[in-house]
This record gives sequence, C-alpha cells and structure tokens, in this order.
Amino acid sequence: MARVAIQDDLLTSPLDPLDKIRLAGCKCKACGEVFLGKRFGCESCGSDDLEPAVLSDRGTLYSYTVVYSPLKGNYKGPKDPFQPLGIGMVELPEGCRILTPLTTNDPASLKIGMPMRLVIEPFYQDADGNDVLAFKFGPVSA
Amino acid sequence: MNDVAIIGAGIHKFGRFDNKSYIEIGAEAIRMAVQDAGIAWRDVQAGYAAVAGRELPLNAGPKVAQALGRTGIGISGVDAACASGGVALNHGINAIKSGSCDICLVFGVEKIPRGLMDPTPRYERWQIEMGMSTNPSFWSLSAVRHMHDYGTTETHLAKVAYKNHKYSVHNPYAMYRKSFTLEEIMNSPMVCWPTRLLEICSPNEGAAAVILCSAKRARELTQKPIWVAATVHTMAMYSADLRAPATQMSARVKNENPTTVAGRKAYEMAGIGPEDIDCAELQDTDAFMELTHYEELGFCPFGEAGRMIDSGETELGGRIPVNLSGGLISKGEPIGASHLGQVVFQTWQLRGQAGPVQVPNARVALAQVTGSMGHTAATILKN
Repeated sequence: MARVAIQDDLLTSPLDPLDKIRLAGCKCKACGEVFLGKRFGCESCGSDDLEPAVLSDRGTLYSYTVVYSPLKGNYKGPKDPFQPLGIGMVELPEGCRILTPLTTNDPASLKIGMPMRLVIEPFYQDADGNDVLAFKFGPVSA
Repeated sequence: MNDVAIIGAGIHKFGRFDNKSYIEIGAEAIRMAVQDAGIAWRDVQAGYAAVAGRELPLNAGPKVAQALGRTGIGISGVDAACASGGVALNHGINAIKSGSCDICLVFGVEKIPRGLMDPTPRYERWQIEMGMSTNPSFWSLSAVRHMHDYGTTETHLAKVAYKNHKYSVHNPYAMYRKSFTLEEIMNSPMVCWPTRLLEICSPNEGAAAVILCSAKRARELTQKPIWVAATVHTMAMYSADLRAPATQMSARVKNENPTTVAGRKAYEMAGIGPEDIDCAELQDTDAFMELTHYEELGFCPFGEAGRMIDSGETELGGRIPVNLSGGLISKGEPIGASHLGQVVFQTWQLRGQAGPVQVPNARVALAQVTGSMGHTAATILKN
C-alpha cells in the first residue's frame, strides 16, 4: 500500500516505518524561530535565511478544546455520525506551539502541562488508493 | 481631529432573509442613511463597500449602491475580514481629508449561510481534512488557557452572554432578541469545549451604512454631527493572536495583540485614554472574546476580566457599559456590516437616540472588531 503525506513538506521522508516519521519544518538561522512546514521567509524577523528542520516528537499540552459541532467542508474524520474531536496546542522544545488534533476527545482526560507524544498514522485513502498520513498528538501516559 | 463627521446612519436588521437579495438588504441600509442625513442620493460623491465573505458575487458593493441610482460615482469593495468596515471608513475619511470629496458613503453588506462558516476559502486543505478548521476552536483554546492562567471560569463566560442577551431585547435590529437565565446559558449545548451555543454568535445577513461629511459641510447639513475622532486598522504581528487560520504560535516571541495595538493608536489619535470611553461595542464572537477585549483595550489589567464581569462594571450604569446593542452574540455577524453596525449604534448613543439602553451624557464611544489573521479595527466617535 503506497503512502502519501496529507500535505507536502509537513512530514519527513521516507514514509516508512510509521514510528520513524516526524513533523518536518524549517528554522530561521537569523532568529531561531521554527515553523511547521515550508515558509517563504521568516514570519518573525523577515530573514530569508531558512534551513530545513525536523520537529521533536514530544512536547507538553499548552491548551485544548473539543469540537462537538459537526465540522464543515471536506473533513476526513468520522462524520456520519460526527465524532467529537479533541484539538490542542502542543509546545515543542523548539519553542513552537503546534495546533494539532488529539487522540482523545474527553476534556476530563486532558490537563495543561501534560506530556504529549506525536502519533503518525493513515488517516484516509485517497482517490488513487494511497494511504494518506496525518498527524495527531496524544498523552504519553495513555 | 474634527475633520470628518457622520451625518447619516442606516441599518438593515441582522438575521436570516431567505426571500431578500443582498441588493435589497444593502440598498435599504443605504437609503435609510441617506434619508437620515437629509441629502439626496445624487449628493453622494464616492462610496466604499465592506464585503468580506466569498458568498456574494463580484462587484457586490457597486451593485448594491447602483440600485439607488447609477450616478457614475466610484464605488469599490473592501476585503479585510472582520475589519473590512473599519478599512472602508478609513478610505472614506482619507477621501474627504484629501479634499477629493465632501460627502462619502461607507457601507457593509453580507449574506452568509446558516451554521459554522464554510472553511474552504478560509483554511488550508490539510487543516480542513484534519478537522482544524473551525473558528470557535481557536476562541476555546484561548479560553481554556486563560482559565488555567487566571482562574477565569465557565460562569464568567455565561455572565457575558447573559448580559448581552438581556440588552438585545431592546434592539429591533438584532437577530435574537431574547433574554436567557444564567442556568439556560450554562445548560445550552456545547459547541467547542467550554463554549456553549448561547455564548456564541451566528454568521448571518445584514447591512449597515454611514454618510461621512467634511467638517466644512457637516455643520450646514446637521445639528448633531458625530465626529470620527479615530479609526485604525491593524493586523496581528507574528504570534500575537491565536485565531483562524493559524497553524502554530510561538513560545519564544511575545508581540502585543492587535486589539491592544489598534486601541492604543485610536486612543492617541482621539487624544483620550480608556477611562474616557462612555460606552463600547466589542467583538463578542463568543462570550470569552469579550472578556479578553476588556483587558486588551485597557479597561482592566490582564487576567482581571473575570472580576470585571462579576462586578457589573460593563453593565448599563457601570463604569464602562459594553455591548448595549446585545453584541454579536445577539445581533449575529454579517462580517462586512458588523463594524459599521457598531458605528451606527454608537452614533445613536452619541445623539441621545439609544432609547432604553441610552448611556446618560454619552460623549465618547468606542467600536472594535477583530477576526481572521488578526484583522482588527478600532473606531472612536465623539459628539
């Protein structure tokens, strides 16, 4: 089964094995800001001196919410019926707070500051039959 | 500073109008403003149209204006998300200050369908596919963090919604005009934890319009010119504002949020401070956002917004009444018309025309909106 990333430049290559894939991004050599995915220039200081970066797979939960209202547009998660979706911000050691889906949708199981780990797995199959890989974060203890 | 005045204000009720075209909705607001100004449509020399959504066709603004008569004046559209009305005001003010016209129309119109906004033109494809494409999730992420940092509670959120729903009863131009108990609000369905249905606004349909006039002609045309003392547009600096369509924020860089920046600039332009504001219309897309704006605009220190809603300081009769129109929670949000709707309401306040929610002796009024990409507008009016 062939695999593709949900978006070019978001995941490292190769896309195998799953537990070795990481979030990909870039780092500004002038000011040190790190970004998920590609950037034209540094959004913080304006420098065009960016280098590729691999983001940590561990972080801490900075904030969270759970979406209960059915999502609109081409959402690829469970939607008939819609399953509530946990969304969080995970702070990585690189100093960025990434918006991410969560592995749990129970607000009682989430606590700001808890350690979180990256999960990369097939999310849906595209029109060509490829497994499309997406990311989420989940509590380390779970 | 007293260079440009509002001499006419008009509005079309915000709500759902399945049987009305955007042209009818917009043109009614404009006609009301023109009549309120005591002028004729042919006296208007230029026009700026705030239309922020993708739901209306190209040239929506000009099509609405020309329904009143094809006088050949230049009418152009303004797209700056929630700040569109403020940017359109800026254009009108600059046109008058430059001397190129004396009388200018600024209006906004929108016709957004029911439910959560269509994410397709607003977010990246991967964000939508993964489920990170709903505006309320951003507001809720901020609320949860604020609760953690400052002890803000779900009851504080409900109190904001309770206040705004209560005032909406007096606003015939609001979509929802019903008061709710705190209990009804706290038992309403959850949209994005911890934000509930009765604490959130509805994107909808509506229009608002003002006639701007040079100081030279304002005094001959009206007894009660309302001066635009300041209008500011800014966008969020890097990592300054957690809002659609963000993918991340920074833990290393701290920049001031756009409402604080726009507010400060507006206060400076108007020669006042937050303590001089007699009434404020703020962006309560959801109850929590109103609380943050108290802090961002300098009504209270950061972290104390919960204490402020508890104390009643933002009620009619309090130190700084907020959202006496019922706010976005009651009016709904036709984006392009939203800031101008606030400006129309504040114009009525400063003329003494606000009826049951009149702030006695109102002299200085503030209107603020903020949205996608931190597009923020702040306008200060004086009488």
